[in-house]
Amino acid sequence: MSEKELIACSLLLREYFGEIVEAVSMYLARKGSTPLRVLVDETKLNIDKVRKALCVLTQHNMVTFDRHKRGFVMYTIDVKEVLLLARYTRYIYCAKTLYGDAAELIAEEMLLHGQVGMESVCQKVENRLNEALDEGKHVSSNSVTEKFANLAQTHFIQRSAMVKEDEDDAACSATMPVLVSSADNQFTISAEESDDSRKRKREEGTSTQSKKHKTGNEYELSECNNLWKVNYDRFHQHFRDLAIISAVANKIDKRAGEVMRTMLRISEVKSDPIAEVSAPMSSNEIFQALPKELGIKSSDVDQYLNLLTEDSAEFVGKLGESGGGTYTVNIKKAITEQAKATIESVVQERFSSKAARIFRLLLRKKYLEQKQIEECAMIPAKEAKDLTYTLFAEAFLSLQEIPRTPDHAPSRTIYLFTVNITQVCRMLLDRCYKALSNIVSKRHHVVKEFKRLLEKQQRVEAIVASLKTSGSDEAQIREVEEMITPPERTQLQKVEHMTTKLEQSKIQLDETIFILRLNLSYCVR
Amino acid sequence: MAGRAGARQWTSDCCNLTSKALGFEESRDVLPDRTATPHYFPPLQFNPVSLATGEDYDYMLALKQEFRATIRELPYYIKPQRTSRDVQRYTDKYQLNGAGDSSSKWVPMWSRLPKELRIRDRKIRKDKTVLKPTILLQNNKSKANSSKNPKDVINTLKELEQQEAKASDEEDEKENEENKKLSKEKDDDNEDENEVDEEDYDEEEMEEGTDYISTYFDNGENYGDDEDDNIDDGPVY
Repeated sequence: MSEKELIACSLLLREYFGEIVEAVSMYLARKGSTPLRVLVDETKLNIDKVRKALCVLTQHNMVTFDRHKRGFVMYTIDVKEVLLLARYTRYIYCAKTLYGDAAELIAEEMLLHGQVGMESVCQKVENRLNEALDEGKHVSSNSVTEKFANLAQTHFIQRSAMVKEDEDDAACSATMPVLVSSADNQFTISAEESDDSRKRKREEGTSTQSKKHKTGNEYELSECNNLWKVNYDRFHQHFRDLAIISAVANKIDKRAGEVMRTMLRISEVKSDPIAEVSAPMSSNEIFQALPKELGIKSSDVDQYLNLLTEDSAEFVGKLGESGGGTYTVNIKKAITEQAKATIESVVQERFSSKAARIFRLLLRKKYLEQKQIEECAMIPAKEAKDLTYTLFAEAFLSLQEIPRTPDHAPSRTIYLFTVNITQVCRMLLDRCYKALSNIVSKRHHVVKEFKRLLEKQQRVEAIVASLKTSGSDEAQIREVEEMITPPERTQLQKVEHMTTKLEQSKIQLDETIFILRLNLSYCVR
Repeated sequence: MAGRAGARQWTSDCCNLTSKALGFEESRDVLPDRTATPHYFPPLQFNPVSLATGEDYDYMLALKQEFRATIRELPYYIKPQRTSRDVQRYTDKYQLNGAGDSSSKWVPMWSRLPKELRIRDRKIRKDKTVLKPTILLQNNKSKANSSKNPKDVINTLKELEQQEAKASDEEDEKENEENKKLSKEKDDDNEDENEVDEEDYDEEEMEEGTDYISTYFDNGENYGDDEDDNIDDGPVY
């Protein structure tokens, strides 16, 4: 992890959890695993505050603890997990598009609290939905729990690690609980939980009799063992599929995108989520799985599959002729193509389209000499040199020296330019994090600068709202609204415009970060 | 002054010479204008592309703003310790009341966390001591019902007390040991640091001591032309 990532991390943490959590987690990120005492001494914070910060961070799955062999507990932070803070809204929006409003609220509650019990989250979501609805309409608790079950079935949420009661290691469990996550019940809702949430309604009236049999410790334990959290990997997999589908839709057409979507849906069940190539599937299978309302004929499917296999991007590969043709989705290839396209457009927007031409040329031909670049790109020598050297200076190109004599004399050495995608990805990712921290700190600065004005606006809005509910006349409301002068109003508009723009760029920047990071995860294995 | 001007003349001549030798036409292109202040934000050669717009982005934006507002209200947002200000203000006592509110509500699931993270609340201990008589009372009542031996009750209570005392002693000892270990390590570190500090300090003293004599030399040349002093140093940013 680079320094820029750490800075982005610290700014994000400050934005969401305050300065104390930021200080604690930054010390952890820089120094690695640390025990509590050292943390308190080095950060010079109140011990209770540090404890609290660690509680918050563990609650949000950012800090894990482990037992050191000398007996004390070591805390470790996961920086990658922290950086996902910038993507939270995308997860929530994704849940909404897939399963509707209830799922959106479930995801939101889960991200707000890190880990939550099924019962409590369903209750909260139900209340919030009912508040938003008009009177007379009502959302049943069953529909919310159903959405919860849906999310769990499709692995978008998962059970967090459970506390293991271990009698053998008594010394260990005296200082810290042992958390174990088992693979078999990670995505299943236990009968107990679903019972709880179903019975809850009935119990409310008739006191908590059934709860009495598992009072005290036992109840607490069952509660703290039935916590759920968001499964980021599954969301990332979904985003990845969406990116591939939209790429295909842009390149060929929407119906090709639908064919791709079907293929990915089939491979979702069949193959390992992190596999580079999906499991093979026949064209018959794809045709059967296609939604009928699209009206794509069997012959069309074959044609689309042909197109996809013959395409230069090679998203789909053909394995054989059996079953009307067997195909696989080459996921790694697809992601690399996306990353390449992203980098190309960066080069184009930052250096001109001629530079992009040189970059694309090098991507295709791998290694070229300066002279060959000039000729192949059909750009005048002087300009081509200038562009190539600028790209090289900005680390988009790398240089391969091939000495003809062992003394490495420049005159007898061939210099070949090339593009190293992994390295360019890393460099761009670093810049993205730099941009991310710039955006966050700029927004922070703007808000701080106009703090007085923003607070005034909030106060005025609150007064107006209360006046409206109490049913005052128009003139009175107008009088209150006029407390903000016209110049102040224009300034407020300016601030709002600025902050929305910053927020928008943060959201869109994260999409670039996602693609680049995904590509790196496929490249480095 | 004269010497300096001469030197400048010479360097520019020299540059002209070398640049001619290197085959550049004009030296002006090579030497950047040093007198101008560089821009904090240099003009961009290419303007950034405007952001993508769409319903989903607007929705995500609204979500983001709402999400941030909500998480700031939650107890997970830990407010910084209030540093004592130099100036006491009338509003201070009112603001303090509001600050502690949201953070005190949340009770983490202690069974999922290491023991040392448990924030000990003094009030809870007080409550425990208050609770004891009520237990006695209950026992008395039960005694009345089941006619138990009062000595038994007292004995069991004593046993329980001893057990508690033992347990708490053990805990304290453990903590003490840990403390000692850590503090020992720390002491070592501190000693090292102290040594380094002393060395640093000596050097500084030496420098300060010699500083005055070596640099305070005035041959009177610069007397009267203070204005031109900074000409060669370039602009000050």
